[in-house]
Amino acid sequence: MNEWTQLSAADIAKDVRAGRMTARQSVEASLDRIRKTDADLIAFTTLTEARALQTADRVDARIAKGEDVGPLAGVPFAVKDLVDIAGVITRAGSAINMDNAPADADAPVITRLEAAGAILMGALNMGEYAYDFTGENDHVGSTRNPHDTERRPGGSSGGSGAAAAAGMVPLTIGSDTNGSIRVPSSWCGLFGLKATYGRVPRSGTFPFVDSLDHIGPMARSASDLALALEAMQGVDAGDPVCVDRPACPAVSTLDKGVADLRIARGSGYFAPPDGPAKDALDRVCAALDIKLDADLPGAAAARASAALITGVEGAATHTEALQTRPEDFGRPMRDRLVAGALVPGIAYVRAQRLRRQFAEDAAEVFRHVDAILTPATPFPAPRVDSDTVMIDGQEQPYRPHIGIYTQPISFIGLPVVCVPVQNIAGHLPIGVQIIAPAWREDIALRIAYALEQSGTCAAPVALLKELSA
Amino acid sequence: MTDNESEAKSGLATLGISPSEDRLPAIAAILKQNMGMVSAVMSAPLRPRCENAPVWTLPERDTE
Repeated sequence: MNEWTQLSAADIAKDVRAGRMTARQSVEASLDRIRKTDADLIAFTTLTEARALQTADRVDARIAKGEDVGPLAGVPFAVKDLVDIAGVITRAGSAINMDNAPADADAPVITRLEAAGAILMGALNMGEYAYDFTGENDHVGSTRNPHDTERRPGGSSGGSGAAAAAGMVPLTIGSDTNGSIRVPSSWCGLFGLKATYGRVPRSGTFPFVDSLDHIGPMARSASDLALALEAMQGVDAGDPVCVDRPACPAVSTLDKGVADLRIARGSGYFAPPDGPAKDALDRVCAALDIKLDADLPGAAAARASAALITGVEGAATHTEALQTRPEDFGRPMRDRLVAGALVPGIAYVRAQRLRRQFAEDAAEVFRHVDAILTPATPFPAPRVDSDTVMIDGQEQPYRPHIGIYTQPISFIGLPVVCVPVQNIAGHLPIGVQIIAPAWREDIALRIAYALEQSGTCAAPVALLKELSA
Repeated sequence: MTDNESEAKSGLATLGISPSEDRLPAIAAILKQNMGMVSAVMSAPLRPRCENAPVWTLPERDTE
């Protein structure tokens, strides 16, 4: 593992801006790490090497002329393979999309990150059409967890989790419909941000469930999430749900501390049974000296509603392909989409109405607290050769349980930072969600930063065996 | 909604979707799971005011 691998995005940008490292050196270090580790992890689906080196040279030329190239100067990043990259087919984890023409333009999130000085390295593996919590992909191979390659990385942003955790790039972009940033952040031991629904534009990204889809960053520090959010946020005409609101001051508020915040531990539905998830939550709550607790009533119905809406809108997204070429979907995913087509309309509408009610009830809870802490996943990364894990003392199929804590929150669009707690379950990390009121990503990021500064949460690069070295 | 394989096949056919016969048992199993969620949604308490919100938007509440 080279020294560069350990650097955060903020560290790299600082060195590049100060002339201690060139952007080309940064990109070459990233390429070296990718070459040494990706064969065993299957994190990347496309490597845009030539583009990255050309962009790096442009960044270096601008620095040589004394220009300010931005707060992410020379920072390599990569995007989930549902984000358009000009000249690359947006695969979205599928075989079907490979019949599409390459994207004719970059998605705005790429344009904005590059405008801040970051350098695109390529596209990252994902669960097919994002309908996945594990990081499995039948078409290009399933991504492995860098902390233990015999375990799942989480999904559907599995490549985003693996690439950041393995130190290939310090910053990745994922998407989160029901937990697809937070689950891989939890299992890969990363900081992950799902901003408020409407904060970051989804223009130029392949949709899954339009009323639930979010785009957001994953990284190895809270500061890097803040830098990425500031670069990515803001209205875009291509996304009708992206709202023209004042920008979130994510970076400047990070070190304000948490003494003035009313932070509660999630109770009721969000109280985990004994095990790694509870241990991690205990550790985080102890570090913050939390005395309050808060429940979000109706969370179970909210999760059921999110699942039904996902089924219906997911099936609607893929109706034509389900009609004309169903054999080209991966089988478990196809079966779920087909079943979603048969959800009764009145149940879908009632689920949307329950969403309104749950959002209003949550807003009332947030009149009394500034943030709620819950587990991100009920267990750490499961093994690839098993379909069960121990849950509450019993061996159970794990897939139906993965999204239990994440789905109710994305259902109502609240901002969440997932923070990593290390060594709770042996060598495996597990995440805790910091949930804030709508549009208050700054609160969640402040708490994440405080936990990082206290040493409670950390995201070290995985000690991955470099087989190709 | 049904978890019966033949009824599911018929319902899907009206949507122009014709899954292969060997997938019908797996689809029926998912339909059974979905029925549990439909039941949870249909039986969840819903305040009258929320009945008038068929289209969801994020509630406006300025906390900044």
